[in-house]
Amino acid sequence: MAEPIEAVTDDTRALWDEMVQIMEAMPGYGLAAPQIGVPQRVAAVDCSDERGRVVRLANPEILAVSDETFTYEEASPNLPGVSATVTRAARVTVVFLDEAGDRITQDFEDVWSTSVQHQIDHLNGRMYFDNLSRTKRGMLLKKAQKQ
Amino acid sequence: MGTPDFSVPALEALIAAGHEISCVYTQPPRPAGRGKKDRPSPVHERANTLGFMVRHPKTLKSVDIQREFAELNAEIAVVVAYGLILPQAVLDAPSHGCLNIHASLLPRWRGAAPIHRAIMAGDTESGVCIMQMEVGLDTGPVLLQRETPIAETETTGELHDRLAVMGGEMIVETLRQYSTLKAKPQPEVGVTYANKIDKAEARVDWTKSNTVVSRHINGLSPFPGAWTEVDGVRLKLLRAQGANQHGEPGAHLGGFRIACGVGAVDILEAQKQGKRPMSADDLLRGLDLPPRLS
Repeated sequence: MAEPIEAVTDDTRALWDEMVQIMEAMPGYGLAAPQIGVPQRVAAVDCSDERGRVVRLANPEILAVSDETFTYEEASPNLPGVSATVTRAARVTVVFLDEAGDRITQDFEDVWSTSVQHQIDHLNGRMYFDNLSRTKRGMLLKKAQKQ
Repeated sequence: MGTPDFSVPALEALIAAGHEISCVYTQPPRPAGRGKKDRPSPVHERANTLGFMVRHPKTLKSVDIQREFAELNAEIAVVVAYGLILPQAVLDAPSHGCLNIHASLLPRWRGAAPIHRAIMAGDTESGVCIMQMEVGLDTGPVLLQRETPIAETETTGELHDRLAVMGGEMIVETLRQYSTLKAKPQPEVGVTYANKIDKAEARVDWTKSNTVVSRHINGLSPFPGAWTEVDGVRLKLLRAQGANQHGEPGAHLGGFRIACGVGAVDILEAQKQGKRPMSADDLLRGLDLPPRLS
């Protein structure tokens, strides 16, 4: 489980810049600091096709989730070569600290909602496949080992 | 637009008040009950009985569904616990917009489970708001608000039924006075969110104080039901009241009084698996409580 940061500092902003670079290089829809070995509750998401709409989040917390669900094929660079369809809330209301250290409450929808929840899973030491049934999770991990 | 039991009184009140209902939207039939067959939602069933056109799209995001909705040329959409996100195109389609019946005193308890959360938090007052819908989660300006007190051992089920009826009355009143009612923006302070109830939070933690335990039990009653384990079997606890006695958390203090981290609670109603809900007296005739619950 990653630790909350005390305040958004230049170090945090530098970490975000590095994370955005890595995310763009993949390219991916999001990245959480623990994925690059930094155990802090810091994440970045950008689910836009045109890129450049990245949202930087520190200490994100989900306040509310919708009843409506959204299903998406999720994958992670930490487990290359496999993916799985995961059903999550179609909209989440999240409170987080932004680049300026301001407390922001924002709604995320569809693939953005999926990515934010996926990153928060990482911050909590979970991966997307932990949301699957035991059988599906086992099959996915076995398949990943063979890669 | 509505789905669960909470939405049915509003549908009935609108019909009784003589409003023309061009179409009923509800969530698609879902597996439920014994056999887990697909079962239509309570609103779906009621609307079928009354002979209304029912649509049950999985989502309102597709352009075709949105066009179909716009072609109804509705003056107003009434939305009650529908459970689907309304995209801007849907919000804009009715000439007078979309009204939502929300079961809390906004901005407190925006979101999916306002009734549960109000009782679990020990609120002494709840109510209903009729709100003009916006894209955000329950953020729209409020046209009409009415309060109701929450009694000490009141359960979510009881408050739910009362608020559902209030909602029906209030939506009719709102429509009658629509031209004169002023929509007030919600206050910016006092916002709380009523997150969905996760079944994993339903187990009773006897180390908490008796206030917390009794609110937890009453707040989750009857659904999903707070539970504790007796001889390896789940027992649903449906109504509790704080009591002034002390003991090791979980200790059985006689009757159906259980010690908590602070004080104790009297369990007034409970339900064994596969049985009907029973008063504590009836239940204890057929059940021996162990000296201590975990």
